[in-house]
Amino acid sequence: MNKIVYILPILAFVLIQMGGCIDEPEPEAGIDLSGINYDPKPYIFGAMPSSYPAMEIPADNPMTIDGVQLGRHLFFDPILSADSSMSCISCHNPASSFTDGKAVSVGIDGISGIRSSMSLLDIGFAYKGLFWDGRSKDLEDQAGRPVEDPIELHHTWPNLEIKLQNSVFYQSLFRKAFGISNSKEITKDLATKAIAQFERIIVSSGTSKFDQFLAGKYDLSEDEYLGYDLFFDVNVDVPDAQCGHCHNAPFMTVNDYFNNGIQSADSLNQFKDFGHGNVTKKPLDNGKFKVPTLRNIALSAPYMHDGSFASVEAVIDHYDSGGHYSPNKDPLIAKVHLTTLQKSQILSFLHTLTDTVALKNPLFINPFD
Amino acid sequence: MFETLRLMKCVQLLCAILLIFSAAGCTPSENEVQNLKLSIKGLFGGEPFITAKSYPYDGGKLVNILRSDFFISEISLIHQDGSVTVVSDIDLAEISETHTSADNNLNEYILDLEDAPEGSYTGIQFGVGVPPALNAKKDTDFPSSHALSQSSFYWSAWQSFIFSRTEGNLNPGLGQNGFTYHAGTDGLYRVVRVNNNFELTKNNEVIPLNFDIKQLFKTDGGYIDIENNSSAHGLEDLTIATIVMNNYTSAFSWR
Repeated sequence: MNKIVYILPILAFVLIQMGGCIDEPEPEAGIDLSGINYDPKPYIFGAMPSSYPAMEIPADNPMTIDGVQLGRHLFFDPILSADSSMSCISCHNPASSFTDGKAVSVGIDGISGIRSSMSLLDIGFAYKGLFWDGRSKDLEDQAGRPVEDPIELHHTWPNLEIKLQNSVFYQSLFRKAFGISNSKEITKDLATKAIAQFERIIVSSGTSKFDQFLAGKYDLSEDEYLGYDLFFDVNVDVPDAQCGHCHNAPFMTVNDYFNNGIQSADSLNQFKDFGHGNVTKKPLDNGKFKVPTLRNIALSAPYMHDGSFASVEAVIDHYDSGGHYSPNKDPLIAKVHLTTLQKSQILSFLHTLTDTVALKNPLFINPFD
Repeated sequence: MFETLRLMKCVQLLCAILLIFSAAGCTPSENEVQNLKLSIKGLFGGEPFITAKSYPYDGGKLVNILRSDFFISEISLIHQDGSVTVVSDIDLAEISETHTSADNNLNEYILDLEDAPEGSYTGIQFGVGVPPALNAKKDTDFPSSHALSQSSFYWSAWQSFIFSRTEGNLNPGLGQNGFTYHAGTDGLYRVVRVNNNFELTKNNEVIPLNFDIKQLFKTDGGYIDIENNSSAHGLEDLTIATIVMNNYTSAFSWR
């Protein structure tokens, strides 16, 4: 009994040190990490839809179990924000299919952004730019941007690097993920690589009704099937609701940029939000936005780049109406003249895209809880 | 001892021969033209084409083109004896995307081609669309760097790539009539031949073509009635898609 009385405080002290709760000021030369075991093992993806191709992984950022774990911790850790109040998860919550359920996201200073949080489901398959406007070429670049965005996490990478370098906890995770030998080697580059690795594991599970249907393991109900037919124009005797042009299977997005008639503009310079045009500097790209995936659409309200529609029904009504005029509105956005029944059938089909299993990956549980 | 020396000499000789052969394999043949390029400049009714600009159309109407894309495949140079040298696999010719500048000199679709022998040719030919062997695959069968990886060009209902997309507006402005003409399926793959005697030399390595988009709308009696045919991208009626694809064969000319 006496021994326990002595051991317990010592054990508690050691555990606190290991947990990284106390960050010692780092010596100028950094901390030698070579004593920590580095044994990288490749990350193996779990089940995903049979219609999916293999994900393309950058050669300079191979996925490892420890890399994903580091990325997971960073993704959930409010250390990423200047005041330690928000993390990636604040706007990309697994329960909402990695969105935040708000029309537009709000950063640490209480400033509202102008765009809605995008779903991260299957984001590792998006090779044509990221964000609504496509300003990032890959996930590694994307992962670094919200940290410094003044209306998001409003931090600076130099300061965040120092915080991470001083954290005993992260020193160990970075060593295990990337084999660095000194804490000074913890950089933005490695942090964003790890976050990108974590984001790549956010993949559909293949258990949605639609995936099961494509795999020949589920018969869509009559309404679901008719909705599917309207959506993709499968049979010639069913009208084409024109959805599949932009929301093609299997990812339910073509990852391109379109002006879908959300914003009204008399000229190309009158859009409230220039979107993709701000990136390409081509006026004809003004008012264009990246097509989001419709997978888990039932869980990711509100909709559109500006969160202007609260329900899927409102989205269907918008497309049926032909949208608002602007000079470069996509010609595919035209009046469809759907009946109330047809709209409800499309809605039924969209619900077959719900995949809650994908969101229950144990790695999506906050590691700090 | 002598046996060993002889063996070593043999090995050295073999290595030298291998080295010579492999070096020869890496050096381009002297009469090959490198940096060969295809250049396509868009026109609309003979005028320089600029994406979204309004042009006169049939019946005093105006039309603009917001999207003009097609797959260009198996570009071949035709020798005088009729044989061909194939200088490309497949690419997406994004005419609208490459013709957005108000300065027409900057508008051009350029495709890098494989090396070809110097010499005299009588013209070129190429496919518009996706050859059947490739069209039997899907967008997800290709790496993201490949032209056929683009999901917006695969139409699962057709089980085909979309060979050509021509989209725009009749009478652009408020109240405009949008139109969307897509074409695909093996039966609509077309081979285009452009006859022109030319010399391919190391100083003349660009194949210059014009592509008149208005030509795609041509019918026996005039031009497609866009107002009453605003959409063509279903299997139920391939009339417009067939007109457009047939017209590709006469839409190109040597520049």
